[in-house]
Amino acid sequence: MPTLRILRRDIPLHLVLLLFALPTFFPVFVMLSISGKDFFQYGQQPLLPTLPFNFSNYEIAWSFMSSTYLNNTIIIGVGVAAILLFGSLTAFSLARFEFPGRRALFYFVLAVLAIPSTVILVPLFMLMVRLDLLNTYWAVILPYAASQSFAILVLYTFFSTLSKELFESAQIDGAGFFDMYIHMGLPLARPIMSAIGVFLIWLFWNDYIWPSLVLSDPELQTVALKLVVFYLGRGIPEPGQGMAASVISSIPLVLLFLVSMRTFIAGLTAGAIKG
Amino acid sequence: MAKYDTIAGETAPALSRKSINWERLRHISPLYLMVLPTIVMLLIFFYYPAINGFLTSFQYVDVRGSQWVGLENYQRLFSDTRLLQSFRNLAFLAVFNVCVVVTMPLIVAVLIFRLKSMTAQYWWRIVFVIPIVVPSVAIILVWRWMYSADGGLNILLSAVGLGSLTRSWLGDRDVVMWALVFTNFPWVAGINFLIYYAGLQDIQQEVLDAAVVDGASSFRRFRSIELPLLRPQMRLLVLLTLVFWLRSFELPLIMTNGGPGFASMVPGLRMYYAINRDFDLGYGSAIGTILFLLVLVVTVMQIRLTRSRDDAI
Repeated sequence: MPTLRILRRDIPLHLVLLLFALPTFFPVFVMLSISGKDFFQYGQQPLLPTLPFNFSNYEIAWSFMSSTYLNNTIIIGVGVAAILLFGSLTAFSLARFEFPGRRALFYFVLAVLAIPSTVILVPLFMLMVRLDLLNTYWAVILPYAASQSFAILVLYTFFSTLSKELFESAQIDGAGFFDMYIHMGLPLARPIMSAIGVFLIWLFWNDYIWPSLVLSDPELQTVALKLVVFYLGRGIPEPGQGMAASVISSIPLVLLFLVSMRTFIAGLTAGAIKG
Repeated sequence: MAKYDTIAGETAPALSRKSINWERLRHISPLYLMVLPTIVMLLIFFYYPAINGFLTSFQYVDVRGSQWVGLENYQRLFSDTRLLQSFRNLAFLAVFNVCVVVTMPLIVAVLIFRLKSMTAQYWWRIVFVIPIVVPSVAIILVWRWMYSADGGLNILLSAVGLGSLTRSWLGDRDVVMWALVFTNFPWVAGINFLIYYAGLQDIQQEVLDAAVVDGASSFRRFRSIELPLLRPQMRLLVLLTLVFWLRSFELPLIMTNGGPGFASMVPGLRMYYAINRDFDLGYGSAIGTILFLLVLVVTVMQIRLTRSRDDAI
């Protein structure tokens, strides 16, 4: 069997890859292992998994983390929806139609990619103070919603590749710009918009710095922020409880990955290259 | 760039024409409405803060108001040895991670690419992407535990008889920076390796086949064909890595708060503390402005490199 021989020739490669994979997954292993330990199990065997797996850690961690899920849903939901809506409108207009100022507007949008949000942390914080938005969802939603440049760049590239005849015939039929956006642009861009959407959800789910500055109210805190507060706050948790909270914080992204693996990877790759 | 006419095929009126074409303006006005929300949001949440941050860096700010102090914030900045130390730390983080990004993900990408079975390639790619579903904060907290006095690293060291090496990794000013850069070892998980992998896929199969026919070894094939052809990906990842470390300080913030003392402080973190601990907003803005300039230099380099590459093609 030639295939078997080929597969056998790959075995050294698999072994080397395994050598890379083991340390890569070691932190995840540690997280899962410790999350099932009560105080005494941890004292006796802090690293390797022990039986029985202690689910009460998850109950305690969940009672602390549960409120954050609604906050994340609202903040990320509104933020991503706004980016996709306004970003696609802008990208469609700039990519498909000629009008005075079009080029200038495109560069106006693009230049923002050179302004990472952390280098404007201080003035953005001052702006939120002045707008009296500290400790509101808006303090996080608005800067997120404004981070459209990456989405616009990707969508602009996509819309530019569409055939011109398509739009010419639509205009002969009397369709306005907005009609063309609704009936042609949006449906065609749906796959690429979901990839962008998944990337943005991942990006915002990971954000810790900005929420930690503007959301001191425990009721409003996001998952990543609350996780750090749980670990490093006043009542330092048992290691098992802390790790359980870490696992809980990852579950939504795990689910997102499982239901949209290809989209997820496509979005992240685009994000890495253009972001 | 291709020319995008208005769909109907009308030619755009020359800008020099005196009389404004009201008919046409009325016709295209919806387009301005469609881009308006984006423009307004970018103005308020990017352009205004960027300009205001620059102006604030020349001011002293407190609750009562602000006052112009000229270059005082910058003078303080450049005479603050601790802050200069934090720039050295930043350079260390950036250089180390650049070295990492041109080796580890590349090795894994080539190893996966060498597999004969496409199914195996697919699953190994999934394996190394999956860890990104764990939020970075959670990963950092696990590593924080690993480095703690009774944490994973010391347990492992004792288990293999190297108990004499155990220490509080984050509490020792001589090793804390090394502890920080070894977080995420072996630095493969994520999408960097996918960028190399995509580059490998773009290499013409005929070139590789010819090399195999000529009897080139796997290593020779890598050194003479793949490595030179992957230079664009490498350049991209180097610049992305530089920008990433210039702008992020989550790792030292959660791991060490910049400690012990100032041993793992970075400028971004100092800026963060200027907001929520020291309320020294003018000083924080000065740091932000310098980081902004550094990011700008890197970005301009990236654009120039990309452009010269496009010209070459």
